[in-house]
Amino acid sequence: MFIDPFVIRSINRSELRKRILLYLHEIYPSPTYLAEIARVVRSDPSNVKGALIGLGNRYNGHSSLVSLGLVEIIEENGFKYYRLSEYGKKVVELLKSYRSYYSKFM
Amino acid sequence: MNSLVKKIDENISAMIQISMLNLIKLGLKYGIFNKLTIKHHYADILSSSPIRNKPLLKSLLDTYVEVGILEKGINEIKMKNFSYTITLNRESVQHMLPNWVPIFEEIYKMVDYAFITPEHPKILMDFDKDADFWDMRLSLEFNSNYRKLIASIGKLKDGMAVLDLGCGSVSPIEIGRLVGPNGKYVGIDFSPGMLSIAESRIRELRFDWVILRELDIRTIIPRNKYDIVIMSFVLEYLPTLSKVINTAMNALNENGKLIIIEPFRENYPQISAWEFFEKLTKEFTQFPSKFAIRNSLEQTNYDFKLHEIGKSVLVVEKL
Repeated sequence: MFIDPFVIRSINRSELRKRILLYLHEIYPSPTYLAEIARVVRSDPSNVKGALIGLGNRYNGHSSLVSLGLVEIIEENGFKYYRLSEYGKKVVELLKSYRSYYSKFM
Repeated sequence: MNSLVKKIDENISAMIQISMLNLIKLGLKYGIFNKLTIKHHYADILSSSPIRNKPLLKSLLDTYVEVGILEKGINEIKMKNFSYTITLNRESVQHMLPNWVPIFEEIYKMVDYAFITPEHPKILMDFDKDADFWDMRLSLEFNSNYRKLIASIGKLKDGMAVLDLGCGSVSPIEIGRLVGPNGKYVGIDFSPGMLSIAESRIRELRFDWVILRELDIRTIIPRNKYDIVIMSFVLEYLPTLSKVINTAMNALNENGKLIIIEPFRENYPQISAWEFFEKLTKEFTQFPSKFAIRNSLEQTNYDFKLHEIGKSVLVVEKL
């Protein structure tokens, strides 16, 4: 599974996307719903939705966590849940390993 | 062990073959072969090409000469009739560790950016600035397999002392794990970026027998003696070998082993194709030859026995 280093670097620069991934990693493999993610990462649900799937012009859908393949959507009984993908899990693990490197060198 | 040796050798051969195809692709894509049918002077080819990075273009032309696609005269180069065959057989395919392919594809793409400028931000070959990309390379199955081979040759076990010259970010964990908690692993690398990644993992795993030092292996003077000294894929970044080989021999206990893993150039025709891409790392010089290593060993004051394992491993036993 190839992990694009530019994806990790871009996530590292985006505080909200990083916080969402770290939370989904903490509860992995469980999925959770949007309002719960927003509550834990202390952000507005619309911002979280933007980071997860993109939102109009404000958040670019191409760099959303779902489009990058880091988060998957699970639909059940008309509800949408979000879960870290296997690829997303590997990305978060690398992100954690690179934390001190990024803080010193980037 | 035989299966590990085959895996390393077969994958290196495949890396060279795929690099060769990509080298040819560059000549087609940038119209270099076309131009060569009408222009024969180096200067004409260099000046008429839209490629802005002329030193890299010159390096590409020189590589075509080395692999036999072009022929060089005085100030001129000509296309030769060239044919290249890749044979896929069941035996070699079963040893393939495919996850190096996408990493190599990234490197091939970087050449397009390097043709614009050598400082392009999409080139990820700097040991510090791009230590994350290097860490991904060093974490590949191919790399883990050659570390397994080192462990098997060195019979690494708890209590041994190992010195790893040019350790990178993954070897301190994979090799370090094998010699602890009663042994000692000392990893030396000149890249603070790579060491910073290794250190964060070591802290998490609490491998307190693993010591990392940010030093240039060309200038170190080890004070202690080791059972095993490792040099894996590091000699290609050194302009001369003798000083480092001497340092490695100095650092060995009597009957200790120096294990060198490299694609030795005598064993891999057309290795220049792979080298062209690796030169995106500014420190890269060339993959070493067994001949140069033996020469360097003979310049030391030590008696030694040299064993060759497959096409990519040399084991030097200090007598």
